[in-house]
Amino acid sequence: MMKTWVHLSYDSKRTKKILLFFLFLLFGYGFYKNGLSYFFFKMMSFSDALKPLWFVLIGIFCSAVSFLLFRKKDFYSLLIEGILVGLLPPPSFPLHWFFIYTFFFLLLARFWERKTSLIPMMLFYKVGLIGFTSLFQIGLQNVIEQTTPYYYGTIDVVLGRGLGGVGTTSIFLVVLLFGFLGSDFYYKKEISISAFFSYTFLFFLFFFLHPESYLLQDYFNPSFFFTIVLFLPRNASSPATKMAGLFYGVGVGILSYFLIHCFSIQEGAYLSLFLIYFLFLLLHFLWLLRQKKNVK
Amino acid sequence: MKKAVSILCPEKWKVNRQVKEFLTPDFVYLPISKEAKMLTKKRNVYKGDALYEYQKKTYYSPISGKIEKIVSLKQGEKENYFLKILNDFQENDHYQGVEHTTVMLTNDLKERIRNYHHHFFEDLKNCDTLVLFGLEKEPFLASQSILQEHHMDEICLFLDTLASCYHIDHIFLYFQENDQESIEAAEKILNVYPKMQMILLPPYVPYGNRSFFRQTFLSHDRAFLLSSYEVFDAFYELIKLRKKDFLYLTITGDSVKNPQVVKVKIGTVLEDVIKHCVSCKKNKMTILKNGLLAGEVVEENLVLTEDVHGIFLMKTKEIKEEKCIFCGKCNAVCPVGCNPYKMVQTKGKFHDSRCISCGLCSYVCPSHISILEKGDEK
Repeated sequence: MMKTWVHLSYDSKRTKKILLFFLFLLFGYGFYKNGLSYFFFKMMSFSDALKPLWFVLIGIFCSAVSFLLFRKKDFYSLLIEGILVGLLPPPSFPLHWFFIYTFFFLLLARFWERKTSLIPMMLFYKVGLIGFTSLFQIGLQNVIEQTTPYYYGTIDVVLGRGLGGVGTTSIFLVVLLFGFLGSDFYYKKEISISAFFSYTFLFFLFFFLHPESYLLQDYFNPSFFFTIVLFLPRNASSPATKMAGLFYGVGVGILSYFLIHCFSIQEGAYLSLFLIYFLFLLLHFLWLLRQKKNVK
Repeated sequence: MKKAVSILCPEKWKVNRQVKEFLTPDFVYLPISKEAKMLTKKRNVYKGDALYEYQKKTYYSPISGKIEKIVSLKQGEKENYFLKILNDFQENDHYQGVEHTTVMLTNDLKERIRNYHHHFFEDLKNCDTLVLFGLEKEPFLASQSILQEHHMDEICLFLDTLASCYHIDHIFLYFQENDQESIEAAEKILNVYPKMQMILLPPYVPYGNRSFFRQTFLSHDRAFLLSSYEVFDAFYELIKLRKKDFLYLTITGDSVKNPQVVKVKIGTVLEDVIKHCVSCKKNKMTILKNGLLAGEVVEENLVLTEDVHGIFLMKTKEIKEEKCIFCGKCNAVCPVGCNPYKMVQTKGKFHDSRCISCGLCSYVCPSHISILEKGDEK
């Protein structure tokens, strides 16, 4: 019987370290943008300025509890999950609700993970947060932005002044992270690239057709870039074949464009990925059913 | 150009180019079964004597000596039968003192080819190009390269004779770019043969796979493809008028202190070769035959037949198969465009006929799923 004895050495720790490093940077920027910068200008008290830090600490705590309860031993994954969870809520999200939601969600996620790796838990978590924010009408601005008139230019938005989660707004860092992750053999960069190009194509098509309705900084939607780099190419929830992957990416890019720019849903990229994910999951099961029938 | 992957042989696994010889085993074993038709009744045989016919193939004695008996050897879960011959170390054969190294008369050679292999003769009639396929199947193997280095003059002589016989105008010799020894050996004599042209390919997997090579590099059907092994066998039989009784064997792996190419008698038991030719580290070993990407796990009592080119002595390790993470890399690297992922999803029930069993899908799988094995089960 044929056997493969040698395997391509894959250093998953390296990828996790890169991810962790950039999550720290994103957190650092989020902490500065939503807390420290206002504290330095004495617009915010020190305890209020610490809110982004609390998000991350709660995230790590909840993740650690769930890891301990389900005896999962992976320190890097724990930290990645904890920090990522802390970066996703809008800056003005109430801390107590965040704690309750995160704690129970992660316990449920850990339980569910034992059954399947197909479910992209972080995406589900984020969509839950979006549900919360729209239910309680929590805006994406931080406390100061909600009360003070402001204007951010294109460069500001690229650097991270846009609207989104606590630490998900720095497009510059996210693109830099893509540069590093893209060198990983197992990272499905073609999906991200196809989503990026389809979104860009649609935006600039309408931008040139109706220049009066669009601003260039609208193009730089932080949640879109964050989604296509961190959530979209996840192995377990994206198609395995290249062609299907390209369609998946294009689907997310197109739907994101319409949700963000036609329906004015700032975090529409997460929702579009959520919908496209279910569509492809359905198609995958139908394909599997057909294959099994054919084999019989 | 179809997809291919660059895999390099680790420096410590590279073989010593000095060939070690082990041509005096006490016994040799030839595979046999009840259906075999005996061609001789003598107990004492000479080297090159036809012994029996089995599965449309005639088996010849690689040594001179005495036929002992038919023995059974348990290899894996199977029990195989072998004809055991005791070596008298005389190396007697019927051709002693006669060396046929000069080129045969054209008609004479044609007649021999007609009797040699049916497909050989039929295909040669319609072809206009001869192609020497001198690429190793995997980067860890060196037997073919050694054969080319030591016998390039015979290989070229045979190809040229064949081309003259059948009025073939072009002969292409394909080697790997990093196979310096074969290239140098060919360069030395190519000026003698104006019809021959050397083509170098990068050492990618699966360029050394015959069907992949044919599909990718040979644009027309009128090219007659021969590996160096085949040319050398045919040279022995058709020009030297003897049966080739030895083979070159690469012995390497992480359990071998001195990786080596060994010239051994066909029918020798692997255990004897290991004992005499290489020194091994003291750890539990797993033995693989003919490759690490698409090899076969064998035991020490393996009998070396013509199709064995490499033996890998590897530290025994447990390859833990994990769940598929749907990364799709098996699909992305497949050089012939089949869907190995489909094979995993249907738990091996689906097998794509295009699969060339190169093992690249299993090689890149981060979950270490033995996709190749699943396909093979079918």
